Amino acid sequence: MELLQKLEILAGAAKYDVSCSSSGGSRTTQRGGFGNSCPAGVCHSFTEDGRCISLLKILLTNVCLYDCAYCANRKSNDVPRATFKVEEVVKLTIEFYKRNYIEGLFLSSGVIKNPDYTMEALLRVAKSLREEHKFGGYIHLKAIPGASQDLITLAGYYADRMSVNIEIPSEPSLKMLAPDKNFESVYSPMNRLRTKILEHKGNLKKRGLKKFVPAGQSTQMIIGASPENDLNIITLAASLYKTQELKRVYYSGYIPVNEDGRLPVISAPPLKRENRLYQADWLMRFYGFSYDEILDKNNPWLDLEFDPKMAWALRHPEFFPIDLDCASYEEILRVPGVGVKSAKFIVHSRKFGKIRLEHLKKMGVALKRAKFFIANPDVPNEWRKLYPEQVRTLL
Amino acid sequence: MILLTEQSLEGFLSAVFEAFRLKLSVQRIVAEEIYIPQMFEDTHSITTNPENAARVWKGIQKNAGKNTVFMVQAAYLSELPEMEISLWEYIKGIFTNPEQAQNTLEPHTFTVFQTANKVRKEAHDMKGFVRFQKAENDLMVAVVEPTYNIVNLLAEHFANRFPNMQWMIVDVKRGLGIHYDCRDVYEICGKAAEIPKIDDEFSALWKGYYKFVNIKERKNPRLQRRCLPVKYWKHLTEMG
Repeated sequence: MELLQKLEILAGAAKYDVSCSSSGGSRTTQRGGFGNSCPAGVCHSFTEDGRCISLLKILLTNVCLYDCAYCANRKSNDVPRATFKVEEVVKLTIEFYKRNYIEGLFLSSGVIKNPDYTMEALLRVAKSLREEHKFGGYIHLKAIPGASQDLITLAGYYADRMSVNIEIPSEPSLKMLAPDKNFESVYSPMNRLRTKILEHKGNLKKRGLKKFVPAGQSTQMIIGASPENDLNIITLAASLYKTQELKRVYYSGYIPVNEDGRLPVISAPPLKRENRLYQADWLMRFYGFSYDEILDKNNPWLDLEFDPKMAWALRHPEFFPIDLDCASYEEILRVPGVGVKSAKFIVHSRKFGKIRLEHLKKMGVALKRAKFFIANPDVPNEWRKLYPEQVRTLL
Repeated sequence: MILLTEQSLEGFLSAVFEAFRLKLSVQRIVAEEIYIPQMFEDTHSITTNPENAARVWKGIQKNAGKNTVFMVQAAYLSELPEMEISLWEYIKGIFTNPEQAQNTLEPHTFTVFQTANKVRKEAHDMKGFVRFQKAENDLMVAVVEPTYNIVNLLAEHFANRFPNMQWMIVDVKRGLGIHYDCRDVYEICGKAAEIPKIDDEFSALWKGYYKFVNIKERKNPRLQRRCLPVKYWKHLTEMG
């Protein structure tokens, strides 16, 4: 089979994994080698669907033992199958990298023969890149559920990031849709990685210690293939950030690739819901919100009309208005329409004088939303005394 | 008074130096090449002096730190017509009233901060949007047309990343670029910045990959254009 044809099958089969990040690494170029990675990560291109291309994202093979209902590569599907040779993946990665098409490699795989066999194949690619070719670019490897602890650990010494996908956000649904999987098979490699990552963090000062998954681990959940509500999902995400110390949780709006009675019938992928979940995720990671502030038992679904920060603000009129001249950074971050950048800017600028609406506008604050929630002489008094329901209609 | 300089950062800094030395009241600082003479305007030509420019750099670094030096450099690279006067006012503040100098509520200071951020953002984005193509003698060549004059800001990144590869990045809009010979990075222009003949069989695989990873059910061209402005498409291999 031609390389281009294999690429078509194995890139097409990997595209539903939404993880794209190349950030968090800090590898320097080895002597005689090439490639490095920088903490901020770099996006190289954007596809027509608006998603970033940063890594060469492929499967080693789309042959798979398993028969997960939601997966295009499941055993029972009649689709063209292909398998890359190790040298082919290595060559594609290196040549793409040298042309600055990519920041590195994202390698996943269907499960062939058994989990250990598959994990070993992924390892051979990473090992060849790092050792034979002295490649310092970004490598994201999948930890194959069910693979031995030793192989998972070994992979961690070659990869910048590793991930195990939860896919379905509750165990009963997972068991129904993916009869060959359970939470144990997902959490076992995740726990192993977590322990090793923490161990290495604690020993950072020891000289000559090899890096272990320096960019941390991530996971993905499919949204809308099973009945869990948004509260279930962000509760799970929050616990993954806290107890598993994940760097990222990705949310992937369900796109029907198979006809299967166990799956819902939808007319369009739930992209708005996915977007709201990412916003909620951002609130937890960068804005100091806890999951139970964003949603609770009485409000288990994210508002599709308003972003979660706005929704929170409308439920908490007692918190506002915020006086930008004296409020803390954390409080300013809670104002709808104010982002991390503009909050920092406000805190920097107010040392020098009074902040006016024109300044906020120049800083990039979305006044359309923010104006109802700040105390400022430029804001008419009546805006500040509006009831939540009135603000709702005004927006 | 209007100060006329050489069109370079050194030229501009030389003017800053002279303005301080002679206590000039500065109305504008502008490159002599692009200045259109007007009646009744009082102009003064400044000869570029690298030593004077270096002294201004040192002074900025001493009074405001290394980050401010990078910021001034980035803002200057925007090549925006009114940038010199904003930079002049900002630098003047650093030397005369360092405590108030970082007051971003002041329009000139704000312009410098914001412009520097835009320039840096483009330089960062361009680290991803540069596309090398293989030319004769294994030279890797990239063509770019950035909004700001940021090619020099890419030198360190690519020299670190590809220490054993010969490469050049040419800004065809400005007719200048950088060339790396596996040891050092050189600034090039004119004939040296001409694009050699390119023959690269890998571009077809990349174009293919770009198509294969798109999910058509998620089509969102607005998002795509926001993240990857159309102005950059011309030199992206995958868009050709």
